[in-house]
Amino acid sequence: MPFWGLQKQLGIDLDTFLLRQSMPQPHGQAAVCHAFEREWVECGHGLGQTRARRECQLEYEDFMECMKRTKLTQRLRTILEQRDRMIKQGKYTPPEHHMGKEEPRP
Amino acid sequence: MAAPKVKQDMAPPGGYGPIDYKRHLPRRGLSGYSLFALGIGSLLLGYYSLVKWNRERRRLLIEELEARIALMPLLQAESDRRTLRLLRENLEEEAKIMRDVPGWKVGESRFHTDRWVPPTVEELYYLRPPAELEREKFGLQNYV
Repeated sequence: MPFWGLQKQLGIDLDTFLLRQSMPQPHGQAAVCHAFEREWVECGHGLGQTRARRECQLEYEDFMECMKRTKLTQRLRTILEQRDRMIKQGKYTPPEHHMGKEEPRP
Repeated sequence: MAAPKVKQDMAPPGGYGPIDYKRHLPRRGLSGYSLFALGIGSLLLGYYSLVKWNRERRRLLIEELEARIALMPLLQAESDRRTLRLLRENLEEEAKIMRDVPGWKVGESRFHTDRWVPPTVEELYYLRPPAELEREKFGLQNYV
């Protein structure tokens, strides 16, 4: 119920952890992208979502990158393709610890 | 009319002896009350021993947790060193692999911020055989 504020009136805090990752989570387990989300929310405080997406573009992009990791997968894929190409051309051999023959160490 | 005497199959003179038709249930074993007492007594004994053992297990669990807390800095430091070593190796390999690709900045961060972002498992193991990545992700599920 939007206008009652039931949880605030009763003084309990049952499901605010669902609203944002930055709210206190159960068992005190912080989210992975907690910092990014907090930065974006602090930057876009009071602006509203549309303006916050537009004006806090850097923080928003970092937050989305942390959540979806699209840039990471793209980058890793590029590197792996280049590596396979170079192996086929014979210009590059992976070192031993990348072929699974590393001696065990911590 | 007076029938002549016919030879019939009759009982022996004096009749048959007594026939055993009543049931003979043995009078043995404990009584009902004492059986109840035995069952409930064993239940209570079981509960009592369970409660004692569970409390002992909880004490042992707390001891194990405290040992884990005491060792945490060491394990965390080892893990951090390992992460940094893997990142360094990946950086050097990336420099070797991408040296011919124009416009590639080795080790560029994907984020606009300067903060340390903990690397994902994929980032650390992407150049290694997939078995290592799988072991890192799911090895503890098969751990005995």
